[in-house]
Amino acid sequence: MTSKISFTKMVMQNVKERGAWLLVTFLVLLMTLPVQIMMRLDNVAALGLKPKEMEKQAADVFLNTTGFDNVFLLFFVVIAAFCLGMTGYHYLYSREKTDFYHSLPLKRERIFFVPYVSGILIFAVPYLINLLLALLAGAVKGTFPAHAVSLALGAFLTHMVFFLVFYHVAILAVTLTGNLFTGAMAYAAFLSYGFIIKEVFISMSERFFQTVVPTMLYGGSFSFMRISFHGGGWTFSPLYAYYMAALEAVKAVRVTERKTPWVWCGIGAVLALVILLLCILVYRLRPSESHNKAIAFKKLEPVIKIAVVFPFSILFAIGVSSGIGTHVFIWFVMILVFSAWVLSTAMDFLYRMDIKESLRPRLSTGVVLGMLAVITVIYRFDVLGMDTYLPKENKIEYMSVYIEKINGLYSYPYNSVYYQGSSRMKSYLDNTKFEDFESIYDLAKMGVEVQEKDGGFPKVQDGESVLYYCVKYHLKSGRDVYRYYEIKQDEQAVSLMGKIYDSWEYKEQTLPVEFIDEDKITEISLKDIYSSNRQVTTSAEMMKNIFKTYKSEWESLSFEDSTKQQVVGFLYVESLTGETNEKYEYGTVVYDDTQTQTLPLYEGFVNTRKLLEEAGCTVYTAKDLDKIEKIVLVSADNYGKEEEYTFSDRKDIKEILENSLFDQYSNPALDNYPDYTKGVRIYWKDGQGETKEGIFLSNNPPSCVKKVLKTED
Amino acid sequence: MIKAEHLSKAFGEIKAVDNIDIEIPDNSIFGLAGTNGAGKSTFLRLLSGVLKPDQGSVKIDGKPVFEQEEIKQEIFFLPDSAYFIPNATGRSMADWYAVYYPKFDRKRFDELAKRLDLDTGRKIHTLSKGMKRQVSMLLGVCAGTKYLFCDETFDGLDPVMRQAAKSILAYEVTEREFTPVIASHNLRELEDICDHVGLLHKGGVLLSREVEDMKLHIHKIQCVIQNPVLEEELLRELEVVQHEKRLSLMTMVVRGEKDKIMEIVESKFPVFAEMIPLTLEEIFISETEVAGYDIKDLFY
Repeated sequence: MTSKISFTKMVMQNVKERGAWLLVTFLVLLMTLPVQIMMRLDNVAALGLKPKEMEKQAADVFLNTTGFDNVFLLFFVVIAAFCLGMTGYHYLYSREKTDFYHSLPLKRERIFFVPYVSGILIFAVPYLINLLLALLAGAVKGTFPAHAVSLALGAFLTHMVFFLVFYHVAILAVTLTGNLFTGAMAYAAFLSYGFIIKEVFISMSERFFQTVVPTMLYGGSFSFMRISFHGGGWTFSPLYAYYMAALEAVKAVRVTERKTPWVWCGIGAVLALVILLLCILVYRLRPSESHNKAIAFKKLEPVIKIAVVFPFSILFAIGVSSGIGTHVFIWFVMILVFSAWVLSTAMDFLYRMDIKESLRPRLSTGVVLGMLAVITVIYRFDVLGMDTYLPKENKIEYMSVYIEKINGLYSYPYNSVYYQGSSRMKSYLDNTKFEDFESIYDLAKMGVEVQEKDGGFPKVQDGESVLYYCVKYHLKSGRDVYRYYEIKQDEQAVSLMGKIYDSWEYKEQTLPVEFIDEDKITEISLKDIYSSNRQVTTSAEMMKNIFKTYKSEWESLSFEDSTKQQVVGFLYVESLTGETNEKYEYGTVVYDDTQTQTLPLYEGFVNTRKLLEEAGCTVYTAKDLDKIEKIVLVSADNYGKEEEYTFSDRKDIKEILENSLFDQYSNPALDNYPDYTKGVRIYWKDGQGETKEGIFLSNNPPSCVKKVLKTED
Repeated sequence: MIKAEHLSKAFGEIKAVDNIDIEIPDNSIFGLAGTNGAGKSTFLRLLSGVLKPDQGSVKIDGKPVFEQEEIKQEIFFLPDSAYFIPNATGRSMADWYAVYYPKFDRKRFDELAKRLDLDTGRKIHTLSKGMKRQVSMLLGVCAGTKYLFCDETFDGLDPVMRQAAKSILAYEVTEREFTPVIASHNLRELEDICDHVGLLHKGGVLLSREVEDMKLHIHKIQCVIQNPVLEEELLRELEVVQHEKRLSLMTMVVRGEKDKIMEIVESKFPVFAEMIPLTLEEIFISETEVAGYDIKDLFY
């Protein structure tokens, strides 16, 4: 038997053979850790900050680079794992090399572990050395925060665990295949197959269903959110676990509060172990004569063929049939069959490298065509009743509803954090819950009826409106179901909207005013037809009072009033969200500890307007037309050419003001919206007004405008 | 001793080794001859434990080879296109193998390299094909294993080096327990070194015998017999493997004992009759023709 010492010698010999990779790993990590730290610390020093601020920033930079925020390191882990896995076992792709290694007096397991251990050493040793150099570089530059060592070691452990995961995946890819091309494809497939399968079902839903709307919830095809992390839980990719580990680690805003993501490290370790066992098994069973074949195991060939052809022919058919601008079903079927046949032939060619052989009909091609037929029938004829889904009321724990004509007008603080990656609609639905959901359920039922009776599209006549809304059913089983509906905006629909809006539960979670802490207001400014931004310069107490009054008036405003009263201006309320007013910058994500909410000021908010007037900010409205000298209408044609029309007559000015809207707002549920091709400039007699931008005619212009534009009926 | 029983190995639909039964005695130089694609390399890869047999077994010293570290320590395999570690020199390859073969004889390696005038400090990738073959053969011989399996090892060696290599192998066989198995399609290479020869054809063993024994049982005769009737009788009475007539000179390859053959020939009153030496290649061609192998397709 070969002694233990000789195994060490074998490993050291292997490391020596792969000396070039050792050098590359060392150099990349040198750039990624100590060099980057020194560059960034010098950059901080050059900013000319106050000593205390500079010390803080230097510490942050140092902890970020040696810790969990080093994005380069994240990428390098995945790439290095692939390269070291491939180079360690690429001998399996060559007959000469396989004969050389497999004729050695070692069992397969021992042959396996020699490049395995050396690959780990080639990554881990340069990483540790460069980490130490990085810590040293920080100390030399005078930056060595208290948490430096624990954070760096935690990051080292996390990256090593996930290096092992990706390394094992790469080894599995090599051992299952017989050449570099299929090996690289297999690695990519192991990392992305979960995403791809998910994308197939999402794309099919989008293609065939009316109410299942992944794009609205998660973004367009292959968007970051959709393919990866917010598309419905576990995605069967090691990348997901790595991403979640990194996300968990950087969850704490303050760098010093960051911790090693032990749970995800544990998941990674289990994953690494399972894949390693699989690698050993595959290596043992792998026939030595598998070199230069596409797949090492002949019996796996049809399985892999089906696994590849099935999703890719669907995605290709969906992509092409929508790309050419037609959704005719027969075209989808033809492209699907064609792409399945082409891909099947391509796979068979890859296996056999013989065109004639690859054109032969095969059982696996028949199986994949059968599977495609089944899935097409299920989606095309909605066999599972996805579009008409309506759970029984007693099975629902709570509901949420996003009505475009209400919620589309407001912004919410949970939309501002970019990396969480949910659409406006989904983040609102996930951040609200209505336990008194009778009206929402009735509204959903109207949507289902359209699906059942009208084939999914509401029947509307000219002049009638469509109501768009998305509903979330949170079932008692814990499952969340999202559905999007379009119905005719008739009296019944408006009445249900009103009932929903007027409930305190809804207002409490929907009105933006509910997300502002009155004790943390730092600034209030006003926009009206007189000025686009006037700061309310008053005491903090007065600002609080103005806000409280405004909040109370809005909370009391009924749905009916909100649709009838004119919005005469906006309040911009800036407030603190954190404990201190500090800024943190991590990569591309900026956390700002203040937020500014834009709040509509309705004509009937007399108490608020009075307090504003007392604070020196009178809100001007259409009733102040005596103070206006003239209005200039700037009308742009389709080519951007602008023409100006001046109105000085009081009657015309009144008509225009009554039919003007601010750029960012119109009343809930109404169909009047700003016509951005027709800007309104108001010239005040006092010469102080600055309302040259941000006011537009509504889509229903007054007769005086129609007359000059010669668009009168 | 090496013993293969009902040994088969197929690559897809191609049967590379088909139900081979063969015994290779210890301390002899065994030549494995065969046409291209006869299964020589596959057979050696099975013997070395590189390939797993589909059917049958390979046992060396009574033990199976595949996945057996202990018995594989007694085997060194020299494939037809040897692989060397990138940037290795002869010396560093010797160091490399010394880790895996504890009985590797560094001293002998240096000594033989010196005798063959081989620069072991030179990068192997800069060496000629023949020199690479010399390096790999020296590594194999010095590994100290009991069995050395050489696949077309003498291919690419010049005649002088070929003789030197043969003498090294012959010396090792006499000095220690050593059994080289040499596969080659060139019978002339095997003829003057091998004690035993096995002929492989289309994955199966046509024959496996001692060289001398083979030469005793197959002969080449040239004769001139004037009477056509007697000539016909001669061909019927002898076990003729192959015969050819040019003008009146008939050349025959015949199985049987030398004396008996000559007795039958003499009984036909030949004008001229002579037994001439048969090369191993001629034996091989004769045997493969009998097996239905159209040799002309291969050479012409």
